Amino acid sequence: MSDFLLEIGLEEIPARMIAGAEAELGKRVTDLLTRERLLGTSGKVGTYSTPRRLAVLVRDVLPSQADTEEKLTGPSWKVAFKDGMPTPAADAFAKKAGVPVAALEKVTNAKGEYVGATVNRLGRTAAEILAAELPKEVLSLYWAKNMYWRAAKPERFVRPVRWVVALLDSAIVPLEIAGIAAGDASRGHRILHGDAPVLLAKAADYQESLRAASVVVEVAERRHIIRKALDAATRTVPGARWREDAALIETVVHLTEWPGVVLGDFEPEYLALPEEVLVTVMRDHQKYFAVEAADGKLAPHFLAVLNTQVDDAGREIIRHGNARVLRARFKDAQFFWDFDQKTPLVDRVESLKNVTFQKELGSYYWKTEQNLAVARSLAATVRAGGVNFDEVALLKAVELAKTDLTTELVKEFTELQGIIGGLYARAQGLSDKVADLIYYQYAHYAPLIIEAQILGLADRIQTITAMFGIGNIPTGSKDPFALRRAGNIIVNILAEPNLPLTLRDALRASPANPNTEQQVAAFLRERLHFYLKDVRGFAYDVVNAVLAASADDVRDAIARAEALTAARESADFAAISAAFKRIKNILRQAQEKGFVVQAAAGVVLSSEAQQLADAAAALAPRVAELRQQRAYAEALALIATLRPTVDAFFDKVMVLDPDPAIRGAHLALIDEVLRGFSGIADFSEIVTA
Amino acid sequence: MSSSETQTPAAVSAPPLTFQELLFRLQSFWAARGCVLQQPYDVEVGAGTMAPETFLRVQGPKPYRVGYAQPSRRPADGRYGENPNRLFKHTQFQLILKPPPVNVQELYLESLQAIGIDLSQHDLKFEEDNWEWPAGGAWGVGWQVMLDGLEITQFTYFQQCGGLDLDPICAELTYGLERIAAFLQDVDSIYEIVWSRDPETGAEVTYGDVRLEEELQFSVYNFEFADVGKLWEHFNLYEAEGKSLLEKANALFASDGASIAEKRRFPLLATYELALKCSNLFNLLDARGAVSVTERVGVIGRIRNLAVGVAKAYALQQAPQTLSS
Repeated sequence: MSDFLLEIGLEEIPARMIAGAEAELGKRVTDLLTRERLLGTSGKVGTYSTPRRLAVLVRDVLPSQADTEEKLTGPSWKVAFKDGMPTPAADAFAKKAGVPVAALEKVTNAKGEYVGATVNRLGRTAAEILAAELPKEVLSLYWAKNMYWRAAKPERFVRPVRWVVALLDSAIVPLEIAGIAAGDASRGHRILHGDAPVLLAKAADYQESLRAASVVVEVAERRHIIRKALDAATRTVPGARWREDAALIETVVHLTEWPGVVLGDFEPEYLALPEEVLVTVMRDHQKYFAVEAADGKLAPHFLAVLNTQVDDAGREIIRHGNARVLRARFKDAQFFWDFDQKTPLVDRVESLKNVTFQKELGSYYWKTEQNLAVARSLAATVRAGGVNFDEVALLKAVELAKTDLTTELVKEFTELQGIIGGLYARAQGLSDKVADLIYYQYAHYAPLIIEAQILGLADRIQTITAMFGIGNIPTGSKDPFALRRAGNIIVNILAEPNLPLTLRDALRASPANPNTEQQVAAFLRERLHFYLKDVRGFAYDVVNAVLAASADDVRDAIARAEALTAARESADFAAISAAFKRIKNILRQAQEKGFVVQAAAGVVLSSEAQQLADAAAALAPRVAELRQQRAYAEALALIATLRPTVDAFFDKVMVLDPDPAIRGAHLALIDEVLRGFSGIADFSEIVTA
Repeated sequence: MSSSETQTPAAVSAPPLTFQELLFRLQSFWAARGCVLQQPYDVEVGAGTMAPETFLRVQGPKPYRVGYAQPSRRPADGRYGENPNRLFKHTQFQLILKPPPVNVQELYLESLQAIGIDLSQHDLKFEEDNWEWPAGGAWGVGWQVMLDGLEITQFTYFQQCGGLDLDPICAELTYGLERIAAFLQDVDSIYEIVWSRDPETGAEVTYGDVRLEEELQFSVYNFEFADVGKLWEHFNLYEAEGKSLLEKANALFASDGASIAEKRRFPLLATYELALKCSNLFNLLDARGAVSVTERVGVIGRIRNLAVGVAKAYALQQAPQTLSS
């Protein structure tokens, strides 16, 4: 049993791509060894990565494939041997099989007697197979963006390959990747170890040899080191905590080979800048962790993750350098903030003409005008629904919502658009409400403020209908304008109890171009389906049943789905669902055959049919009334009481009676039952056991 | 603890390099490694990449190594000399290594040691940063080199230029001289950088002494005085001349009758300057807020037609087999 090590040495791999590549390499190596029968029973594959390397260490690799025995069948015995003597046919077969003629055997099968040969196939060695197959696997790794670097461009990879280690125990596996022959020499940390090769005596030494060269090859270990070091550095400030940021941890884990942490300070006067700006500068621009005091407010410190280890003097230098950069960035932000105040948001509306919303549609000035119209229309509907709100604040916020796009601070920190507008609005003396509306406009969950909900709806429904109008319709994985996300947020907003609006109201406020009206409606229905099924977790058949009845009022759909989910548990209700499915099938058949669905005058119904008709007629108004009151659970319970009558009907009555008059009457009856009781949900969609 | 009490990196030994010494050191480091040292290109450019020593030299198979300090103009970035970190015109030390040596990163790290950065006392990272110049049909992948959290260099492996695949590729290293000098000298404002120090008297001339007036006046011109109508006129004139030269070049290179000598002497380098003029004029118009939404894409397309057109024609001019066929 051997250990196999593969290490691909690279110039720094983009941090965001490393984890995926490490996992894929592990899988490819595992699959290859399994496919080639080279993985021992206790075979174990470990994967490693740093910015400069991807590695796989496999325990229990077989030295070679097991030999196999193969049975070959040749020409018929009669052709191969005449009078016991081999013919040229026997010679040819023996030669092809690689055995002497004397070793040929007689094989009897269903078709007769044939010449056979038993051939022993020697398994290939692991080294041989790895050398032949592994380079292809490595070069097939997926990269989000790759490059070529050698003359004549023989391969593409994420960054130039600079060394390769391939060892079976202590023997070099003679493979070549991107023109680099594998050896036993790795490389250590650029600065802490320098350019001297790190010779690996055997594959199993990998982790420890690299550790001695100041490289921690295990990702989980670096993550642990970084978390501990963040804790330790933060402890020097009494009561302080570092702000947890899982995504940032992953980034710095993949930017370091020998991680360390330094805590630095910034001047407390910068705390006057909004926390959003400070955190964005630290996290997105400098990859620093923010520190908060015991009260949860930002403290004037930062934590930088280093890729080196230095003495105290070095720490001071690095701390000082990082603080200097951060100070410059904060100073910049301060400068932009002050500069932006010279032109308040209210004076920036006109300059939105210079900011493109969408090339074929127009500028953000155009977008703002559209949003205003949509918001006014939605506001009127909401008011008509008897809900009061501050329409002046709403329209002011819609008018100013996009103006922060022209500010220097947003040009610098695009991820803070909306938020900066809200902060500016407050600083410029606009009302708290207007400021909040602008601040939260891009939030995934609009706050439960009527005006914020209307603003959020107006902006997004306008974007969707306008984008559909110029053919930017999401398909498959393509949704470059994030319209699905916009649709999801629309549904989220309409799901809240305080807004008397439906999907149709939203569409009416922002009319789609007539050619795409159907598509927009279907798209919104799809988003509602997604919401009910994936966000709220309703069963797919419940969602289908509810939406088949109606897919307009989001809150009503939720209520119906809840009632239906509870009701479907009862045996009576399951039977009703089955019956409704049957009714639908019968009506479809009738339609296909062109049967008349009408009760002719004077037809006498059987008692079961008459009972069903009477029961349905008695129940229908009561169900309708409960539906009106949205008492769906009670309505469904009432419908379930139909079960004995329905069962008796289907037991005793031949619906498609040969007599067209009776048949017509039956069909009319079940059609009425179906119509009368499908308003809450189309029960025929419910899957019964 | 206050970070300003601590000692600065270079204060331990000799005084840190002045702005001009920084440039000298980089120049001599790379000259000793086979680079041609060029002078800055004398037409306005937004980045060292746009100078023909990069944009045109990276085409074709011929190996080349060149370094030059390139004043780079970005009119919209001007801040009237009031912002300590932003400039209308900054200086890039631009280096092209074609093809890139296998130890290009190690050479780069040596160059940092050469300008007085003791890497054992600093934190250095190569973080993904890809680059593209759409109007030049150029892009590459690479890193921003971060030293103690400061981006000091853009390191790019060029993949395409002028819309053409490069073979061989080249490595482009762009050192931000002002940033590096401010780092070495540990000053918080670019304008406080010591540009030169008289070795006899010790008298210092600062970056502000040399350049502040220029930053102020060009910000005033770029944002307030530049005559939009005239800028458009200039743009149209330069573009018209560039287009007409390009048409002549394309006709000439397609003609069987023309001699190789005739093709070789065609002034594509001058044509390229016309494209650069248009690019700078566009940046000025942009700083004036004079390019409307609808115009913008179109104008960039016009510059691209010129720049990419020249790059393609230049590739033909440089390939003897194409010229002789």
